[in-house]
Amino acid sequence: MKRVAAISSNVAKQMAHTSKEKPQIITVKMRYDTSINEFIRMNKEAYRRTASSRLKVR
Amino acid sequence: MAPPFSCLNFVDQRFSPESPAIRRLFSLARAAEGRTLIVEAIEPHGIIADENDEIQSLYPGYQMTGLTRISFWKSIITNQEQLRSENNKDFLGYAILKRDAVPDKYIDQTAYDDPALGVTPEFVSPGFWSVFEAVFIKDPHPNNCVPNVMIYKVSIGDTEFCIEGILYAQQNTLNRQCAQVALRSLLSRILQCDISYREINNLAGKSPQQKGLEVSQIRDVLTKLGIKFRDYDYELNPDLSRRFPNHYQKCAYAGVESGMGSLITFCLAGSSISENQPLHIIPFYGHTFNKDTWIPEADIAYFKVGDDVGYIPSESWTSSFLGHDDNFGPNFCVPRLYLAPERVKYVVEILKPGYAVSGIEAETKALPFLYSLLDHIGINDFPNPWLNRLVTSVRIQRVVFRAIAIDKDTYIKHLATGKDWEDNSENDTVIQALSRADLPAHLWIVEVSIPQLFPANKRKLGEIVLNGEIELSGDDGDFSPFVLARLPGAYYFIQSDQNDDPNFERYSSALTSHFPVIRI
Repeated sequence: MKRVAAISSNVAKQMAHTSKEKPQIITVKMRYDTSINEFIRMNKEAYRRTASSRLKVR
Repeated sequence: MAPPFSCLNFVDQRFSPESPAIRRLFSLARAAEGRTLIVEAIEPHGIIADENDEIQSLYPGYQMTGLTRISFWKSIITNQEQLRSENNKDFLGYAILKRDAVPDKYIDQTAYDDPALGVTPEFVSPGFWSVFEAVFIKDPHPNNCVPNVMIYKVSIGDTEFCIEGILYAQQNTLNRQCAQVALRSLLSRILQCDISYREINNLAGKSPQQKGLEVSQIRDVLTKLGIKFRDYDYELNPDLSRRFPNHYQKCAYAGVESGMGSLITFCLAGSSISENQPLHIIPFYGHTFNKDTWIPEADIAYFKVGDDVGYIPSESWTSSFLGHDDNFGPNFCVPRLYLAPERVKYVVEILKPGYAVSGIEAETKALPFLYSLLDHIGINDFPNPWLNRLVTSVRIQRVVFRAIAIDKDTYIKHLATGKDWEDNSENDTVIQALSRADLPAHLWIVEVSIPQLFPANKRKLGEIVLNGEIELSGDDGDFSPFVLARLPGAYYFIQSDQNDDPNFERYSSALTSHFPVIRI
């Protein structure tokens, strides 16, 4: 799913407006590693699953 | 407190020789070169009276048989007039000690068998002393870091004083066990006001007969107070702890470093402990910083997310967490690697108000932005030795990350007031642009450094800034959390109309070398 960096883009516009600097454009081929998203998903799932924890502390 | 006064004798005679927690208070005062002890009998008011009502409702016939406030001072104080003129810098700490007695018929000795102490405290008339609350100054050593330290007000005699620290409390086995006192310790700072045990127990929905709290009740307390958190039961998530053995340390550190704190639940060691033994929980609120630790070099702490990406988390230089153990007292250093992952059953990272994601998720999400961006920055196009060093570090995956949760104004002030190593300040136009831009109020600043720079002088080469207010999707192509990257000599923003391969806009920065890390 592609979701745009709206905030980043807006800050860039403000930067251009205030600084009058013409930005250099760098096209970046993103280096995706499935492990990163897998870790985030594992983390979310573990947090969700913890709702059913039966651990007792005292 | 000068010789021949003995703290040990005093505790034996006035309180309980069986209480390591009370002994610990006196040890802290002695180690801090305390010279005066003030002892006051006080009346129960506020949350102390509230606790008495709660215990009375649970144990009819209950009596509070002692309530004493002790305070420790670095100066010599001999009379009330001198106390009134004292200032806070000589105030080392205070404690309210409370003795509770319930009729013998309520005493279930098995409930008081404390494996950590190895003794069964007597709980017969006139009752058992416990530390209702105590606050002691942290060890002044600069390597002991306590972000967001709390200032507590307390009256000694007829004068109000202030003391910086984190509140400690001890269980009394009646209405407060380790779960309630650990929660109160952190909540007093998060809420910036005190909270009674009755309120904690009510929020938890605890039944009168129940001892301690279940995880679901800890969650209820936090949720009903509007506190966001991330918590993980490792028994329910064996894959997480197996694949990332230092996961609980990262969570604990993230909560501590954000100034909110963490809770760690573990099983006690020892052959006499049965498998069904209830778990113990303690709060962490700070950490030590050892610049010479060998851990980051040894790869033990390296957080390898995937084959090609990973980083050295800043907690690698943490030797110990700072926390309380209600069984033994306040302000302990708990060695980070002492609690083996298999003994840690549950961890809670408290999030700062306004934040939707954990610090470890923010660090992980920042990884592809840094790695990808540095793949495409032509060093020849933008010659800068510090950028070059960062690129080299990233290529060999030896980059240091430190996630800090701060609001946008603090971040902008950080950039506006700091200077890089060559004494450069940021351009006013950059500061104005960031101030005028519609930045999210709550930011995750993932500070980026290299292994020889970060520990030596606590400085960095830049940061990846993420929106702290939105959930991270865990999908490729989700650029929505990205706000900006600052690297030596430039800021980078993503254009909104990017394709799968985004266009970054590069604007100049006057900060061309390393810069101080953020301190809260």
